[in-house]
Amino acid sequence: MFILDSLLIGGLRFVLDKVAAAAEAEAQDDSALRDQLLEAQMRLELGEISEDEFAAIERDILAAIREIRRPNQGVLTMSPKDKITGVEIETFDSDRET
Amino acid sequence: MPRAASPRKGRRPRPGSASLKGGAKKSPARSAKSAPAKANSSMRGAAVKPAARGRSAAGRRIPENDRIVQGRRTTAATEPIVSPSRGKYVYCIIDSGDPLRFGQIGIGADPSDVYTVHYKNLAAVVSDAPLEVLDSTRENVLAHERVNETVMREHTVIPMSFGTIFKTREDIVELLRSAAEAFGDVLNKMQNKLEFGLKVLWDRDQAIREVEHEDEDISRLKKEISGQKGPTYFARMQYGRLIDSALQSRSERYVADILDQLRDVSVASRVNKPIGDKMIMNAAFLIARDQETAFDAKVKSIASRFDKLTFKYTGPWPPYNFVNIRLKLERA
Repeated sequence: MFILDSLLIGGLRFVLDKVAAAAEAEAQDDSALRDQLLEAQMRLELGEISEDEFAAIERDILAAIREIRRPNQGVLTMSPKDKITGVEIETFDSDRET
Repeated sequence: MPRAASPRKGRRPRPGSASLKGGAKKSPARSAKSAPAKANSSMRGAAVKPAARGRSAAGRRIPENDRIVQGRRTTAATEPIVSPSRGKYVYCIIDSGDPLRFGQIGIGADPSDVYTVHYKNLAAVVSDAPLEVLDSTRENVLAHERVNETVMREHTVIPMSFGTIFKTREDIVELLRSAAEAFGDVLNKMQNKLEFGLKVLWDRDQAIREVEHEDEDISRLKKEISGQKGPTYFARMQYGRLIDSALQSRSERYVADILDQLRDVSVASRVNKPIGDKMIMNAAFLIARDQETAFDAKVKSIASRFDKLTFKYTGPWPPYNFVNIRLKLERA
């Protein structure tokens, strides 16, 4: 099945120190919309909706997500004056729960 | 009857994806993977050697004070010469000292060249892209994925989250430089490991019929409700509650059973939130390359045993679910 859900979870991400707290709180806001997008995606994969129907749903949901987009989401720049002050790494040793 | 999941409708069907219904065969296409480029890992040792001491005597030494005051680093000394509207989209980080090109498969309406930006033996795989926020449309996400899929044929990758764009090449070099050690460790750890996805769906209506049949309390209550002219509100409520909890424990049993059987053939697993009300399991597995065949066989045997469930088995993917790096960045 499609990977969108995984892409939104993992990999390498940036947390800008000064806005981290606000961003975390606001991130909650679009999670319901992202769930809806995933579900539409799944229904497309299962043949329950057509490409056109999916496109319409996707357009609406993305428009709504754009409305509440976090201010620090966007183009990243790292000047030599910026500092990476922390690196948090989780790999499989720490997340084997099942 | 449970409906079989239809084949992928995506524009770019992934050869590795497959729906398994009962004992159905999964496409063997994805086993045709090339081995990882082992040569790369042996080069990392050289990269971490301290820089030659003699270099500071070369006449262009930066005065000690300047370095402290400005905090500038020699690796980023050149000013970026790019048009203001173009940035660099980053797909993943790999171990490679040599510049690489992956063809015109970049993200965006007009697919651009995918190439590498280096710091020592670390390389970021990038393409030029407009400096704007990218929507996570299916098409864009597939483009991101297509690049990572291509790169991982030959390299161990640390995938970037979707939508990461840097302004300049120097920004990326700076990123690689500042977290070089962490990237090196993670790349080592992920060597020869692949991620596979396994989603399991059921036919909820059929599951309800089964629990109605098997559970005496539910069965009795159902007769009560259907026997009455005006079924009581409370009987209905109770019936609903019993159904929900019976379905819940039934799906948990399935999931526990499936995970249990795959434990021995995987390095790690991660269970994500199911999507929609038909999905009972949404899991990712990290598999060692030499266990891939065993894992594959196990998934097929499970799928044939649970013939009422629909299995969606995909991969190999970069380890999205097993690498999570958060970099805290402080602006000057």
